[in-house]
Amino acid sequence: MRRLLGIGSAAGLTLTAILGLFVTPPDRVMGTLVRLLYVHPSVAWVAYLAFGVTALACICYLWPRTRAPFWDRLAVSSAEIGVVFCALTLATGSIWGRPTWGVWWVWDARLTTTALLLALFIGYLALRRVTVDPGARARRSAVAGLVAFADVPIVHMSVVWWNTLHQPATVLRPSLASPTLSGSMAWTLLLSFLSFTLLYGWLLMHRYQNSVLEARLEDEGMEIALAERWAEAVPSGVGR
Amino acid sequence: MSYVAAGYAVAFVTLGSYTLWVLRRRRSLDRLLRTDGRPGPQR
Repeated sequence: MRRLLGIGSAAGLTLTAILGLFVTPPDRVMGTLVRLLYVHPSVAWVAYLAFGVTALACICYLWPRTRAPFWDRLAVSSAEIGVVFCALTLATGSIWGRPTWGVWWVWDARLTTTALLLALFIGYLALRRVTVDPGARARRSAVAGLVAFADVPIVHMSVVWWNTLHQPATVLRPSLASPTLSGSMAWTLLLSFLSFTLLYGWLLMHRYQNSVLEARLEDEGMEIALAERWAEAVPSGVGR
Repeated sequence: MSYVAAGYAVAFVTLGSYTLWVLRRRRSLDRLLRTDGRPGPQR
């Protein structure tokens, strides 16, 4: 399964790059800059997805009937991947914004709420490093994860709620019946969404496995430290 | 076109680097757990 996801995402991303850079036609208004469409919205979608999975895992951890370390590990694994994709959303958006708007950055509602989202989830990851007790860490970070996720719908709807420089959504829009793309552009965009989503799935599986190993290492490290303290304490106690 | 190339390069290089980091971390955790469970050289 994991291998299949890896191969699928690698092949899909290669094809996306080839189609996006060399095959699809330039846009009437944006020219060749439209080729960034096959990267920027897809990485933003994966950031939404990753933070959505984190929020779901946080709910499952906080719910007493479903509370298990699995959900905590899934939440942190997905949040870390989400942070990478969210940072990429800002970076690729900024690269697109420079030739289109004439500036690298503007305090626009969409950009500002996305930057806030990144800061919130970096905070979530930082919070996990503050608490040592695994139970307290999982509980506190689950609450923090849910608070951070509240920004995702605000980011998505920001282009509808406020007058922004950022264009309205191309794919995830309220009226799905009226597509804004067609032909090879639409297919390449679809392939890009699918490939980046497969990559997310593949990364999540690996990152989750790392969380399991990190927990085992933490447990074993604790056991060894305790054993060493006991070994130090016994001879001194005998000597007294 | 240079902005387009920069956008693709940033995305693919970042994701490639992160993927490599995740895989290397996995290998190093595997190695640590095979030894004595602690970071550092095997005793």
